[in-house]
Amino acid sequence: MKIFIKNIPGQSAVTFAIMTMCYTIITLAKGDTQMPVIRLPELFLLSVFGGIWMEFAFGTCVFKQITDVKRVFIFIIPFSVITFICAVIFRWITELKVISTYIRFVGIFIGCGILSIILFEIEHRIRGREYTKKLREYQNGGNSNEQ
Amino acid sequence: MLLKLIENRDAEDTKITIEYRKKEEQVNKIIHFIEHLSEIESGFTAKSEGNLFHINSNEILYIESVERKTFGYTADHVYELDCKLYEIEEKYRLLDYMRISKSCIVNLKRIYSLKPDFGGKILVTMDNNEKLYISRQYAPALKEKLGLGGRRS
Repeated sequence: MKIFIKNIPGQSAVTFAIMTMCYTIITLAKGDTQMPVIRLPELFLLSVFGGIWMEFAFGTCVFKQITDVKRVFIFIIPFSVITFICAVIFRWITELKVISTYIRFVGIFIGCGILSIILFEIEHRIRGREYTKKLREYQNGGNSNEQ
Repeated sequence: MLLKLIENRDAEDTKITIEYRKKEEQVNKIIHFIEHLSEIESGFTAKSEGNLFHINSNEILYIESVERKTFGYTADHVYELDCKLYEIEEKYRLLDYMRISKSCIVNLKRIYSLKPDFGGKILVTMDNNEKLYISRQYAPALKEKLGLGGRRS
């Protein structure tokens, strides 16, 4: 539980960064060059939930022995529902009786998911270089935490 | 810790004396290492196609347990080893062998590259381009060993 709580700020920060990027891209795509300041606390609120749920689904505290596909589903389905509810409450979505609203939401959600995967991949490659550099140091008998 | 080395050409054999205030973990590790040094240096006795081989510990890329049998993988061959995974882990923990999942131990000296992967795992590419995963459970220990922070899961 301690590790679970400790990891939430990091997960929330990642979620907030990705959601802000996605929201900025969508806003620019719609032709708007400005974003209301109130949007940031709204995104932050959603990110806190996203962070908790991300740690719940992808961390090792709750689920230890499940496949990545199951973890993705545990995260994606409730998070898409919460995002939709927040989008309605925060009035990002107003036309609820039009079917194209729902299609657009799903499209945007999938687009954001793909963008997240690309950003994670870039981050993993950068961290991978750092890991490999430390590994080389270890292999050459250099710095490590070995006692 | 103070390391004192004395060269004595008249000595009959190499003598190691460990002087400690309290027998702590570090002292136990040194004793364990010295006690098992000859075994560790001798490498593995391995079996392949009915023949017995002697495999140097540096030749092994990783060791895997499959259906209660232990297999050692070199760059181009698989050998059956006559010891259990936990015994190898215990015996070689002070060298460069490290547990990366419940069924696998990897030789850190034979890893080509590391890359974090989805869900806290680490993708390991071995010298022969073979790919393995360090599970979420064991990734923090590796990070700690390499001086990358560590104990966050």
